[in-house]
Amino acid sequence: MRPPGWWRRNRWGLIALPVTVVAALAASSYRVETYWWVEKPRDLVHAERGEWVTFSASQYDRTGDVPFTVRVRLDDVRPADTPFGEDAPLELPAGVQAVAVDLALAAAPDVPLTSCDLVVRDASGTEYAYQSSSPSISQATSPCVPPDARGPELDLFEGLDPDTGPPRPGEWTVSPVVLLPDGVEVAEVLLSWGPPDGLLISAE
Amino acid sequence: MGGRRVARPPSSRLTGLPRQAAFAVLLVAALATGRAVETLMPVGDEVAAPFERTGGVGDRIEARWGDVEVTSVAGSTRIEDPYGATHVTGGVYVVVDWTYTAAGEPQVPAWVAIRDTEGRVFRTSLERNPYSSGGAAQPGIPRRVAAAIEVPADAVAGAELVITLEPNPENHRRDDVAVVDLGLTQDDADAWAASEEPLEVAEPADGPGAMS
Repeated sequence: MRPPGWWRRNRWGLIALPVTVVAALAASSYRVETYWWVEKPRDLVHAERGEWVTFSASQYDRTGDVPFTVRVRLDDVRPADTPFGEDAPLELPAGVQAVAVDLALAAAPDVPLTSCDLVVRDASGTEYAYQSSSPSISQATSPCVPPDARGPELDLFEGLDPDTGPPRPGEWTVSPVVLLPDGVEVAEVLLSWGPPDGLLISAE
Repeated sequence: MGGRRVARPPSSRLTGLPRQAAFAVLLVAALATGRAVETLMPVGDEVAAPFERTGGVGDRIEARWGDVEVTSVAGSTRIEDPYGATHVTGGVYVVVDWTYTAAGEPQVPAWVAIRDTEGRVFRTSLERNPYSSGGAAQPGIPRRVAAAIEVPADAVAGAELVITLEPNPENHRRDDVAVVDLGLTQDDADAWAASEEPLEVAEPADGPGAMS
């Protein structure tokens, strides 16, 4: 009788090997989430300019998870004259342009939506962020809510009422301004209320 | 290959022992090799070392996160910070004006320090070593900034300006660090240590500016 071959003698080891490799990689990959996945919006809902899109995600505060749903429509990306929520005209350094991102949003008035990030991308993927203050611009702190009717905030501090200002309407428009170098064309607008969820709207 | 051993006439009691012994020897040898590699080779420092992108004053130094160009270097025993406060030192204040252009996404060079020829590092700080980045700079828009760092007079000659994103030096490992040779000499050190003229530390501003 032929003795069993090498493959046969080691079959259980060979079967276990890929499982072990996967388990070892999984066990050492705990940083992938912390340092990559939740670092930026990566779980994206895609939309086109001019169409309403419904975006649902979750934020968290002292009370725990705060799920929300908001409807968003990108109307236009155009040259801006004034910062968002300010009357004074923009004064830009040489080589810098300002674009206003016209968005319509709709959500229930009791949903906190102030802490959102807005980024525009060019065709190569370079990202330009909405900044409320920089050496060249000063504008409203949140790019997603009316500056004079922000609605409720997240409940982040004990003893602070998160909902004191004038109530937010059911539907509103905002025009946050982003600074870019001259000659850059905006291809996409990315909205996020906390990674990894985000809403990516094509500006074409 | 493995089948050959089995094909030999079995010497039942002896085969088990040498195989176990060989396994033990191999295991110890593997552990010893790993230990030797770890202790004899400079893996810890070399593998984790930052990538230094070097240049001089007026050079455009490219790094992963953007590029850096030192436009001017000056020194004195006195500076006037952007808030109008005057600071006086018994050593030398080195004031460096530089331009930073982010790449890819808005970024802040949060670590700015002077490193002398002995390897001593003098960082910017909130109060006595003013440096304001103006926050994250949009990619492609040059940000003009100034840093004033207080150093002993013997640290001036040969000093380098070190710039990178991560404020914690532990996190400089395997990342790009811009290193600018400021081109300073002992004559600069002596002149600046005797100068009482206050140097203005500029506020951050966007755009190419009048210099370039």
